Amino acid sequence: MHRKVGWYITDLESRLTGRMPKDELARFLDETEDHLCSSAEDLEPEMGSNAAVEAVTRFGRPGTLARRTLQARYVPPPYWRAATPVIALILVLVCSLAAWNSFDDVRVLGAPFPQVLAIACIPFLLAALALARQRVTLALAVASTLGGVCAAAILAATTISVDLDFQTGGTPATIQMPSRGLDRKLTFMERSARSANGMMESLFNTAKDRYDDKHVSWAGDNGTPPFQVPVDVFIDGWGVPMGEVKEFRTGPEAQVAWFHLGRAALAKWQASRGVGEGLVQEMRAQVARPWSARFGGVLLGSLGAGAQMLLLLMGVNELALLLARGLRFRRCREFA
Amino acid sequence: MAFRSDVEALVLGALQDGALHGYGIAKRLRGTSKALAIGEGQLYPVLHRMEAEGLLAADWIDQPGKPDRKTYTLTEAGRAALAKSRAEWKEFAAGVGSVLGGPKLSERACDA
Repeated sequence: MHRKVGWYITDLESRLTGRMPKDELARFLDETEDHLCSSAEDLEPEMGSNAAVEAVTRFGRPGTLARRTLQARYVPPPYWRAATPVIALILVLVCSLAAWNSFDDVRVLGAPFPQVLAIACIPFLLAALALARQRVTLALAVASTLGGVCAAAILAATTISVDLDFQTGGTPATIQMPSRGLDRKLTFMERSARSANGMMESLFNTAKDRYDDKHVSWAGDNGTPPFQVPVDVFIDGWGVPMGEVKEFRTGPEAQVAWFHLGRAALAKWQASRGVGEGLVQEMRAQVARPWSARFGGVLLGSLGAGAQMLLLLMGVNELALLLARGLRFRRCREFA
Repeated sequence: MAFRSDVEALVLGALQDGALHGYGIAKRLRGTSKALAIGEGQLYPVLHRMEAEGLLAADWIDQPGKPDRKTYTLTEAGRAALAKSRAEWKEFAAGVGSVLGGPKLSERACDA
């Protein structure tokens, strides 16, 4: 193939890549190359070494041909298809702000849920860009990845309910958090106990609200790592040694274990104070509520958002193309 | 008068005798119309649109050592469109001739 013809084909390909299907583009380039080569062969007896140049000149500028080819296919200009990723970006910002207001106290793998949602929206934006370049297969793959990220976030979110506002390193620490004029002391362990503290905190809050002249605290010790943790529960200065908790882990099993520990401790305290059964049931409900509410909300929100946003993206993309066809974007006649 | 210069009609006329590839059609049209004055490549959007509309059928011919060649033939719809264009041309030519005066075009010339 003559160098001039090769340059023309390369230039034409660069103008059409990503704006028409690959197989169609390849066929179109073959057809163009065949025309140019045939024209150059016919012109060679007359033009000699300038035959290819003349053939390309007679064929016309590659930019003009590319534009008219795309116009004939009603492919809108690039800036028109930018509407899809722009709308996707707006949706991401709106959803992130909504998640911030609704789930700002939910942690996923130690990070705030809105931040995790924002990160999960990156593949969503990539899917929007892929759709804008008519890479439908790539868009579907990226969107499926988004769904997987959302599902993983949901699973991670179910292991953690509420974090305390304050953390320390590996040693036990004491926090004083004034509330309703009553100081509340909490001594907790790093990491492994963090999630359990959320439930215990709920229990203590309820006890404090009901018996706000009482002082409730709980102390623990890391013990011998990694899975043996001696725990003592102190309620109103009344110690309830719970012994060693073996095979201590994070996750739903640990939360259930801590829940039973706390419930047993409160039951003993309740018996010693003559507290009615209703308080314990109220505490159970309060502890259970964050689980079901957050799990259900995060599940529906994340999974639903991923699928709905993908459908919305595809709809916006198709709408943009329909509008462009309706406007007959710069369609012109083929002859001067 | 309904007829006006139209690349589509010229393409249909160029293919009435048999299959041609794009360059062959451009050679036949060269010198007969100013439609391709801006470049022979402008023929291809027209060909592809006519193929999409069902007026033309295309076949690919394998050429060893060269790019594949795409040839076009008229479909039944294309032949009908050609006949319609021919009738419109006759009407157009008769109308122009009656206004401008001078020798009338023969029927054979209109059928060419």
